[in-house]
Amino acid sequence: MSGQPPDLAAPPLLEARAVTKRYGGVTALDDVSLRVDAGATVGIVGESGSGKSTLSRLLLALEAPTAGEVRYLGTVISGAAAGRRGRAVRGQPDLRDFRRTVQVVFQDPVSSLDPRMRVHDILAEPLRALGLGGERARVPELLDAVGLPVTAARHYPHEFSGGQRQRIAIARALGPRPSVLVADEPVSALDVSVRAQILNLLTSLIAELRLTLVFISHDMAVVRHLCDEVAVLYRGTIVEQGSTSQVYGQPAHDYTRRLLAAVPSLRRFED
Amino acid sequence: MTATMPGSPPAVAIRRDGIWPRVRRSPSTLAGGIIVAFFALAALAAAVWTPYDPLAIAPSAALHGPSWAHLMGTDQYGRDVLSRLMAGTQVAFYVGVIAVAIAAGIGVPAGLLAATRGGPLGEVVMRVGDVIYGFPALLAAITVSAALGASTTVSMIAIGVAYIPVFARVTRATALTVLSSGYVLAARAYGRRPLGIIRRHVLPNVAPILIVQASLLYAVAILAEAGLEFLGLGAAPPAATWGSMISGGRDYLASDPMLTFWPSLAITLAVLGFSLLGDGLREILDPRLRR
Amino acid sequence: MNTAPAAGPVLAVRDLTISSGPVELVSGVSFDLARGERLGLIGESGSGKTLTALAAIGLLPAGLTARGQVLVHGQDLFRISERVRSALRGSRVAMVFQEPLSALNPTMRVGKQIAEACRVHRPASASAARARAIELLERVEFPDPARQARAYPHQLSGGQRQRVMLAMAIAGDPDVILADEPTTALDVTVQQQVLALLSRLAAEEGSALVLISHDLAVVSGMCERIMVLYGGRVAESGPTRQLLTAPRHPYTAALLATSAAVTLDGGGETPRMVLPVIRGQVPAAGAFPAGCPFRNRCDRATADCEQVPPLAPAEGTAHRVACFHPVEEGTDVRPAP
Repeated sequence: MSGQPPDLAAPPLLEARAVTKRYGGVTALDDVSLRVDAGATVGIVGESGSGKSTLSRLLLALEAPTAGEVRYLGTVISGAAAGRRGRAVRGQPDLRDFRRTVQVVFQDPVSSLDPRMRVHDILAEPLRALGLGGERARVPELLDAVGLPVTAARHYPHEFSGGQRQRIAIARALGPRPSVLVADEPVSALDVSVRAQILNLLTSLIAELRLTLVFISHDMAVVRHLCDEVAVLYRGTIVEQGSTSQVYGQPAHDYTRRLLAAVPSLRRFED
Repeated sequence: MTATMPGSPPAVAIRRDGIWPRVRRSPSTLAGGIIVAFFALAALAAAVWTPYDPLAIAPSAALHGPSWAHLMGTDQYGRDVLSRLMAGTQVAFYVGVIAVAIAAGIGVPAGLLAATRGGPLGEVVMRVGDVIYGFPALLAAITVSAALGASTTVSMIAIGVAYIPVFARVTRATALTVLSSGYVLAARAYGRRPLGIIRRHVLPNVAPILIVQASLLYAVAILAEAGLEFLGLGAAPPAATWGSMISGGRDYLASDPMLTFWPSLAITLAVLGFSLLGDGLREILDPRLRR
Repeated sequence: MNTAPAAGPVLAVRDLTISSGPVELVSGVSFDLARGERLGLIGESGSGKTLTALAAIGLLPAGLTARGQVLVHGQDLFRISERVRSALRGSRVAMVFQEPLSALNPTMRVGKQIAEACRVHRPASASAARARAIELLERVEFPDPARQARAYPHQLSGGQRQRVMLAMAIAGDPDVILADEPTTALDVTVQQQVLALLSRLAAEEGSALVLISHDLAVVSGMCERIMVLYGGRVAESGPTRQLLTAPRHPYTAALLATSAAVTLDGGGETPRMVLPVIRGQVPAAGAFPAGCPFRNRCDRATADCEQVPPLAPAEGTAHRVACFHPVEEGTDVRPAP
């Protein structure tokens, strides 16, 4: 799908420019720059403490960087980030368009769905929040797109399995017809066999809906499978980035090499 | 080896679970619910009709035992015990309403404020709550009654005020949990404003816990009111309330123990009913979240 | 590795069935573990792998009923008293859990916790136990064991905590170490270190190892024999090499195909290619179909599969399959490199 080279003259869809994020005395991200072009599939790999989740929250304007800026289609959005508890900052650009076009799927399907809401409401919420109508028609469409029966709408999240809940989370993200999907470890909490189903689902959705994907994970193999570009995060800095085949095939940085070497591989009994 | 097209509907097994099966499985909720419903019906009935006027005195019929005319007998003034009991039910529900309205009406917004604002304002709110919490509720009610003159309403306001910190604390704790959850983060990501988040996510998740607390507070209020009535600090006589009925029957314990027995039973059952209901609801509503 | 046939298996599980009320969570699981052998237990959720491990150390949660035999050091864990069972734990069978943070006492320094584990099986003075604890910390590769023994669990990293768990596990010189997803919660670089350490310790102690995981790659590197569980039953068991190059059970084959497709080396060169999947999903406990638990997701299922397929050897080899329509011998399911 993303065989087309990005148009570097146009502003990138989403961009982090030299962002730094500190929490008290701890530096989670230090001078990180990342560029996501339309139609790209970008993977962000890192272990715990790498800052990858912080980066995803900054890219989603759910938190404001301590320094640097996050831009969406050339416009700075990082100043408009709401505070940690949802307090809006006055006098900042309206994020409505951004919120519609950039959606997120989180890792834990248990905690990312409100246990007190039926699936129909969970899927309709983004539409209501963004002032888009048509939930009656849209909800069945979304369930169908992720391979769930239309009757699922009446039920509560706890009645579904982990893989099904993740499908619901994906369906929710697709509601507002986004162009960008940010997926933060969406398959890590799932069984191996379910993981393959969800990955296939993501693959087909990316192709059908021409989505731009930002995929955050610690799982290098999954990132290799899904993404054409990759950035390797280590302790808050990007140590290496480039095309997946390049970074995985000829890793330049020592950490990348260590990371690749550490991934357990299926023994090949070639003799 | 099996393979399938991506996105084709997998065989979905949706695990069924509704509210009613859970209610049926919980003995506490059932028992409590039945008792509360029973009293509620009695209160409603009393509003429209009682066998006799609860306040009407008939000295010639004083201290009669149970008979077809008076199913529970009469008290020392010839008043029908059953009618007075039913009238007392109304009072019991009334006191619960006042106490819960005050405790929740002020406590919940305070808790939400503390949870969303955090910082110094939140701390101040919680510390004020702690001070109130430290003051014994019943003592407060007695003091207030003594100061402002005894009346049911006033003493229930005092009980309600004493329970504001409980509601505030519970609201704040739950709100904090909800606000830091994954689904609230997701909601912020798809553009929900803070007020919308409170309305659509925080309150529905706080509500069940509040229902439990309200039920338990109801039990407390009924008991407290009865105690105040017994001490003569509640509604002025000759109002028909359970507490004053017990107080009135005290002098006749030896000869007519039933005069104190019936109102005591009513209080016991009412408190038991609300407590069981509260406990049962807590059982039902919790595991749902845990799944 | 020390294989002493006269001593017999260090762990023998015979027809283990664990139920929660009417629902069978584990059905008819049997296996032997020879001295020093390394067995990998592969399964997804609902497979019963954790319960099997807990049964092997006599730590089944209350409320579950168990039938069958679990023989440790000649004694059936189900038939002895709790006192005798406790004596066996740590000294004959030890367990390493998945999440060390919950397995360690947060209010006790780690050195003391290891010392406690030592003293249970070898009465010793406090100072002797403390010395042994420091010795163990050194064996699990803590660079400054004397100082680090004074740390509290929350002051250590995930990998360090897991190494403390390993130290506690070998404190009693066990014959069998059960490791239940010991590295799943850890970063991949740390995982590599901890697995290497586990391997070395087991070899040094001469202990047998049961490594439970959902990750075929991890198990393939560490174990010489693999047992695949699905729906509480053994689907397939055999030498690692055979199982991974020529799996016979459709579930194993599908699992292998998926694991091999998303991998760093070889696998699919095409990005975002369609992955082979097993249709449907793992049923909830108690909802597995009668007979072969895999039959509602298997393309090869027929009416025969309504009976439970016995775990039978394939052509007289050590490789055993529980399937009426096994995948043909010699089929290589891995995508071309």
